[in-house]
Order: sequence, then C-alpha cells, then structure tokens
Amino acid sequence: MKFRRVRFKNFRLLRDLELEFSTSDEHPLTVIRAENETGKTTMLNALQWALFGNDGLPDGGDLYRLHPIDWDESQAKTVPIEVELEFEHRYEREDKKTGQWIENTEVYLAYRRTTETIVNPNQWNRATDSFDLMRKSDRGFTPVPGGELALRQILESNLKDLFFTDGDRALSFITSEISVGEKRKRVQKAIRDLLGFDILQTAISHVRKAGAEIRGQVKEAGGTDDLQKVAARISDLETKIADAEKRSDTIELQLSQMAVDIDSVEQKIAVASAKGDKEQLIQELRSKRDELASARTLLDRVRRDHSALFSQEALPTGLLSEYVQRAGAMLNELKAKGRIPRTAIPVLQERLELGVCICGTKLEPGHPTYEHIKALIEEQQQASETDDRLTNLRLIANQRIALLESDDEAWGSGVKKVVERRNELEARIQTLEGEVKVLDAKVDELPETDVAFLRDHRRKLRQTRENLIRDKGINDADLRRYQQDKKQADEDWATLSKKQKLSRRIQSRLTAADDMLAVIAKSYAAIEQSEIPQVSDYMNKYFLEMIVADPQQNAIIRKAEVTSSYDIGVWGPLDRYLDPDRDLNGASRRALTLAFILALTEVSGTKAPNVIDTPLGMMSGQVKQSVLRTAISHSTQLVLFLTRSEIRDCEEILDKEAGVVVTLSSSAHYPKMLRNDPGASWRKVLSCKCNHHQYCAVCERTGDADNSALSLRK
Amino acid sequence: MSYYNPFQSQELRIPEAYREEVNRFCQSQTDALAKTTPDESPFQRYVDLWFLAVCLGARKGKRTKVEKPHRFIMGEILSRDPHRIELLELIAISFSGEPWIIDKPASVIELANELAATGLPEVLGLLGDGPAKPIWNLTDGLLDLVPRTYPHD
Repeated sequence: MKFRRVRFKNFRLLRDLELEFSTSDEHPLTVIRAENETGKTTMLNALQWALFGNDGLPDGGDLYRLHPIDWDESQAKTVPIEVELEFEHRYEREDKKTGQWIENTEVYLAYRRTTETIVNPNQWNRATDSFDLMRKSDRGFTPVPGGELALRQILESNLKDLFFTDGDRALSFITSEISVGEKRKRVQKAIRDLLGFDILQTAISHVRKAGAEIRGQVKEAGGTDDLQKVAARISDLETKIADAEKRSDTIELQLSQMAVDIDSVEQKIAVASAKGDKEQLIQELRSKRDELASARTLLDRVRRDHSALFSQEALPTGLLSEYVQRAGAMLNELKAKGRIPRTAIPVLQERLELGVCICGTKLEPGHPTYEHIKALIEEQQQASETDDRLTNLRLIANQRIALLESDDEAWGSGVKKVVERRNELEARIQTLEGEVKVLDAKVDELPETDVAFLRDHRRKLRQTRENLIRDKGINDADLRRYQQDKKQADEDWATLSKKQKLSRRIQSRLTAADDMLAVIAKSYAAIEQSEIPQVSDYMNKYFLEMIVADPQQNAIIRKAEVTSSYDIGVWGPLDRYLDPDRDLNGASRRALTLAFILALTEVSGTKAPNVIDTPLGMMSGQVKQSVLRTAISHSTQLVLFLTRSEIRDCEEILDKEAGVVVTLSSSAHYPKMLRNDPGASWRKVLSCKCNHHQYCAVCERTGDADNSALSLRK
Repeated sequence: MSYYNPFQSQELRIPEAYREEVNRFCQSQTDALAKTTPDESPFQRYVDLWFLAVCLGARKGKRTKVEKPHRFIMGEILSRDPHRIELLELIAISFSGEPWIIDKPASVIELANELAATGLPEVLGLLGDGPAKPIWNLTDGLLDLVPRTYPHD
C-alpha cells in the first residue's frame, strides 16, 4: 500500500489543500517540509481520520474539533469537512493458466466526510461521517461495496500506530513517565497489532465465544439423549408441579369457602332446631296417621266381625234353646220308642234272601208272604229317609243343648271378644286422633325453615369437603412426588451434565472449537516466541545502525532488545542494563523507537507507508543522517514531516532519496515569519512544491532571500 | 260340600210393610254410595235379619200371617248356613209337636215366615232401642235375651 494523493477540505487549518506522495520504489521518501504550527500533526490526524474515522483522532475524536477554529459563521453555521486519500494497493494473484504469480496494483480513493454545526465558539455538533471507498478503473472511480470493511481488508490490520508515528509520541515506548506495566502493554500492543497478533487474539476470542455458545447450546439442547430426556422430564415435572401447586391453592380456597358455607348452614339449622324439628314432627305425624288408619282398618274389620255375630250359629242356638231342648226331647223319645231309626228292613231283606220266614214259612217269589214282606220293605225304605233326618236332628239338638252349657261356645263369649276388641281399638283410635291433632298443631306452629333441606345441604357440603380434602391429599401427595422426582431429575441432570456434559454433535463441535483454540493459542505462542526475537533482532540492528555515528552512545551501547516480557531494553558493556529513558540521550531514544517501529514493519512484511512526524528532532549531525538513511532503506514508503532544522545536514540524503518534497506554510505566519501575504482572509495551510533548496512566494520566510543556500522558485 | 236343603224352592218372605226399614239395616241392601257401616246396618244380608226375626218370633210363640209378603229371596240361600235349616226344622218340630213335619218343607217355611213377621218388629225395635248405634242397641238387646251367657256378668 502506498499513498498517492491526498486532499483536505476544512480540516482545521487544512481548508483546501492537496498533496501528492512519492510512490517510486527507488525514491520512496516523501518529505513534507513544515515548520511548527504549520499543520504537520493536523495532517497526520487528518490522514488517520480518512482511513480510520474517529478512531484515528486523538482520544477517540469526540473532543477533537475538525472544522477551522476561525470559521466565518456568517457564511455558514455548518462546515463541510472532507479528506480524500488516493492510494494504491499491490497484491499478487496466481494465473491459473500459467501457474505463475502475477503482481497487480489497484488504485483506490478513500473519501470520508462529515459536517460540524457550530453552536458557539466552544461547542459544535458533528454529524455522523460517511465513508466511501472507490476503485479506479477505466471508467473512473467506482464505489467498492462495504467501503469501511473493504478498507480494513486492504489495511490487513489496525496499523495506524505503525503507519503514523509521532516522533514524540513514539517515545512513549521507552519513557519513564509511565509505568513499566503500561510501557509493556504499549510495546506488546504495537507488536501484536503489527504482527497480526490481534487477528490471532480475535480468532482466539471468537473461538472461545463460539465454545461458550456451544456450551450454552448444551444447556439448551440438553447435550445428549439422556440429558435431553432428563431436561424433558424436568420440564414436564416443573409443569406438573406448577399445576399441582395451582390445584392445591384452588382446593385450599374451595375448602375455605366450604368451611364458611357449612358454618352458615349449621347456624341456620341450629336456629331452626331451637324451635323444633318440623320435619321430624311431620314424620311423627305421618306415623301416627298411619297408625290411626291401621287402627281404623282394624276397627272396620272388627265391626264386620261384630256384624258377623248376628249370623253366627251361637245366637239362634241361644235364642231358641227352649225349642231345641223341646224338639230334642221329642226326638229322644222317638228314639227311645224305637221309632227312629228304623231297623226292620235289614232283617226282612235277610229273610227274603234266606227264603224262610221267622215263623218258618217258606218265602218264595209269588208267595203271598214273600210279596207282603217285599212291599213292607219298600214302605219301610221310603219312611226311613225322614227317620234318618229326624235321627240326625236328634243328634244335632243334643249337641246344641250341650253347647248351651258351655260359656265358651255361647254367643255372649263371641260378643265379649268383639266388644273388647272394639273398645280397645276405639280407645286407641281416640288416643291416636288426639296425638295427631296435637302434632298437627305443632307442625302448624313451626316456621317454614326446611331443616331437612338444610341438613341435606349440609350433608352434601360435608361430602364435597371430604372429597376436596381427599383430592387435596392426593394432589399434595402428587406434588411431593413431583418435587422429589424433580429433585432426583435435577441430580440426574447434574450428574449427567458432569458425565456427559456435551451431546455428541455439540461435543464434536466443541472439541473442534477447543482444538482450534489450542491450535491458535499454540500458533500465537509460537509466533510470539519466534517473532518477538525477530523484532528484537531487527530493532537491535537498526538501532545500532542509527547510532553508529554517535561516539557517545556507541561507546556504551552494545545491544538493544525486546524481551519476552515486552520490555525494550538496552545493554551496555559487560551486559549492563541501561534504562533507555534515563541512560540514553534524546537522539538515541528517538532512534530506538524508530528502530522498533521499522523492525515491526520489517517483521510483519507489511508493505505500508510510514508517516512519521518530526522523527529527527533532537538529533544532530551524523546521527541524524544515519537515522534517516536507515529509515529510508527499510521503508516501503516513507513520509516524513520535517522542519528545516531537521533537514539540516540531511540535504544530500534528501536530494538523493526523496521522490516528492512539499513545503507547507501557514497563512497565520504572515507577516511575522512568512514574507508574502498569502491573500487569505482566514488562517490556512498553503502548500508549494519547493524543496529544501528553494523558496517561493508562498513559502518564503523571513531571511530566505538572504540565504545563499536557497533559491527562488518561480 | 253340598248340604241337603229341603227349602231351596221355598220363598222367604217378610211383610212388605217392613221392607224399607229392613233395607236400612242390611248392608247388602243399602246404597253402596251411602257407605253405611256395620254399626249402622248390622246385618250383612236380608236373610240374616229374617232369621233373627224368626228366632225372636219363635220366642214369642206367635205366628203372624203375612198379608202382603215381600219375597226377598228363595230358600236356596239357606244352603250357605246349614245350621239355619236344622234350626228351622227343630223349631217346626217343637212348635208343631209333630216330628214328621219336616217332610213338609212348605209348612216349615210358612211357619218360619209367620214367625219372622212376628219377630221383625222385635228386631227393629232392638235396633232402634237406645242412644247408641243400631249394632250396639241390637247387641245389648240380644244379650238381654240370652242373659245367661252375657259376657259382662
């Protein structure tokens, strides 16, 4: 990378300035001659702003004003600020046809701009800057997509500390004004930045972050199947626990409400019961009525029995006892007289069958005796039926007479039983009717509160409460089980996480990440261990080259070194350690820091400009020349901001090595130091192409015309 | 078991003059809708009242001619209560002094109807004789007629 051209607009004193840089390999040096207060540091910052934005400005740029301090607000409150840097980038590519590496060079234009609106002399508001990177082609400059990013790729790394070196600031590597630790950090940072260590560090950071994300995925994804199952189980249990807890709360609430309801019902029952249990009375009444109905039914039956008494045989027997006795006596008399029953028929029939009469007469059919006996038998048989009935009546009469002697069989006995039964039943009915009447009255007196309904309601509530208590018991048991299961699952998770922390897939990724991290870390260590000695060696080489002409320092300095702990040290005779800030003179300290920067550039292999502000200050004579030669010989492109005093004694070197020499002048120096009126209403930096042998109307300073070493350039 | 009933073709009669009153005291004759009880109508059937009237008429020893008879039923009804057949024959034997009167069922029933005509006023008198319901009046009256077996003695 080489700078080709830069243009500044309203960047502090650089109101309208354009410079060109030497891009020649033979003459890599560009000298920008500028006295103090002529914008050297401003230009350094402007170049850094063009490439790095606000990061390139001192202290992040927030407090760093970009617009000219003497801006005429009457013209515009808002100041447009631009820096336009044209550079070339050289790279190699492989020709696939020939297999040869071909060097290509692209020309780019980095264009950064912003505006600052002036609020008051001490306050302004800066707009967000915009940046464009354009590539030069046959059709002119065309925008490169992703300008900032593309620029970073071209710059390869954050090299601003290397590209742009403030000679005074570079001394911070060795100054005693800061702590050893801070110096080490700066040296370490410079080395790491320049050698690409930051890329490795970024890579390490990225890999570590990726590893962390992968480990995070282990938690999310569960890692292994077992872990996933445990995770699912834990999730399921957590849901169940939440549900069970919610259910428990709901049941508690319901139980609480149930207690209130039951208490309310019990109070109503107590109030109603104090006045009597209507339902119980009704039940009693119903029972009494049933009993009464039953008694009445029995009474009806007994009434029928009573009625039946008038049909019973005992009544007429009693009433007709005289008739029965008289008839009985008559029949008994007939019996006694043998009138009943008749017994001659069997005897007569026997005689007919024997054929011989009792008197000895032979009985044969047709015989008058035989026929007489036969007619007598028929007559006797006819009269016999009545005799039989009379005989039967005699027996019956006698039986009735006997019955009349028995009280048990008498009609009165039956009447007695029926009457007693009737009396008993009627008394019972009367009692029951009275009891029913009393109960009716009690029931009528009771309030309408339905105690039975309340009791039934209470029973249902109690049943519901029992169910709830049972449900709660079950639910609480479930909850405890879930919690125990959850605890076990948590333990399983912990155990499995330890044993199988990563799933196979993620494990492999994590292993890859760890491997990558190990590779990078080892590479980093290897590079650091190998590169630091190289930097140290180059620094030592360049430093010794630079101070070789210094008899004072050369006599005592034997070696400069960057230690593994990032200390820049110098060793004297007998390997005695020398404190760079205390034991070296100003020239040597600048030489040492420049040697360090050039060594870093060399080791990094970076082909980049070194823009160094006042590198030769505090140097004199041969030391200055040797420093300049060394710097030129080891730079791809060297841009030096030099004052006239720095250039002094180095003119020949510059004549030989400088490809471009530009002189900057500040209009503010007119008329005190600047001879000619620049014609500018406002302070600004002017440029001309005068070299260290020339002066012109723009840069002529007081006394230039009298300086025989200078000539007027027209 | 069937029982010999010599009176089954004979008419049982009461004087028509007592018919309505007799009806009052017979449950079988009262209007069902009136829901009379045994206390009001002590006799279940007509024949029950008639037979009691025969008994009381016999006790009176007087026959009363039935000028305007009410033939309320045939003698067949007596088959259900054989003792009544026997008692009617014993009454007839005793009342007539002639045992073989039983061979003349018509005469026996005629005697019974005339005795009933005598006894009916007695029965009706017993039913209405007293402050109580007819059944109690009758019961008390009959118990007086059979004092030897009065249960409350």
